[in-house]
Amino acid sequence: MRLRDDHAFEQHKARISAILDDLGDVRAEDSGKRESLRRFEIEVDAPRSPMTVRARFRYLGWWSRDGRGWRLDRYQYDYFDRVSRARLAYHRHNLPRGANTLHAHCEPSGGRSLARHFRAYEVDLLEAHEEFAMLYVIGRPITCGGLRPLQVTEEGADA
Amino acid sequence: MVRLGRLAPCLDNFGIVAIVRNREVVQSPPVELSTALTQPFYSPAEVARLAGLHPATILSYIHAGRLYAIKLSERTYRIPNKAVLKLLAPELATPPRIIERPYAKVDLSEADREPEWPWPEE
Repeated sequence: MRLRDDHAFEQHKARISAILDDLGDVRAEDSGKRESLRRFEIEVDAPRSPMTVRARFRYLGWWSRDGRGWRLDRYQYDYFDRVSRARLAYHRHNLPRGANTLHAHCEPSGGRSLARHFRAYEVDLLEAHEEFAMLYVIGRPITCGGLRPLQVTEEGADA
Repeated sequence: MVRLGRLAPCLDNFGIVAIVRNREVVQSPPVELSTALTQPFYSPAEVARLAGLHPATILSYIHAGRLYAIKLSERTYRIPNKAVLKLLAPELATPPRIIERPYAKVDLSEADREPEWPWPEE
């Protein structure tokens, strides 16, 4: 993903903040906008305070300068279901045996995950959020069905 | 007057605490909307009742993007608690808290560390 300039980045931030703000109380941190590497983290516990937290949505992106704009290099999009103590996440970052690898994490409700990392494709933050928000509203347990364990080579490609 | 009496609970949601009935002022206790909304989600019909509006109006707000809702199927929506609060009493909703650190040095290797799991006990 690439944002063409600082203004586009600010629009991206405002859009994500507005969407998450409808679920609960948003906390965000934007670091390094005047530097060559930038980190944007946004997190929301749902529902809002003072109600008991049922889920946490946590989205992190690491961006690098690309001309006048910004390119997304790494991300961690996580959904934590606090009620059933389950987790689903889409990540792109270095793994011990693979550089900048797209992968998913899945910790099912009431059980251990079959694998530490699962295969995944590149997802946009809003796509991931749509899926997580649906899980949150339906309240269906996370089962990890359909996910395949990831095996990576030194180059980061699927084995 | 009967019509006004039916309206009372709706008006109460907006903090209107007194109505006139039979030339007498009838007081109702103020409702703290922020704590009165106890469900994590509401259906469009429930929001319509809370707001004293027709359900079709709530659906039109959703379709126009004025009210956030999660679409479960073609005709089923759920509206999160905070979105309802922002519709009915925006002044009570906590705004996003965004910290800006423009000159902070970002360490890209941090991206390779997994978030804490399982959820830390509070």
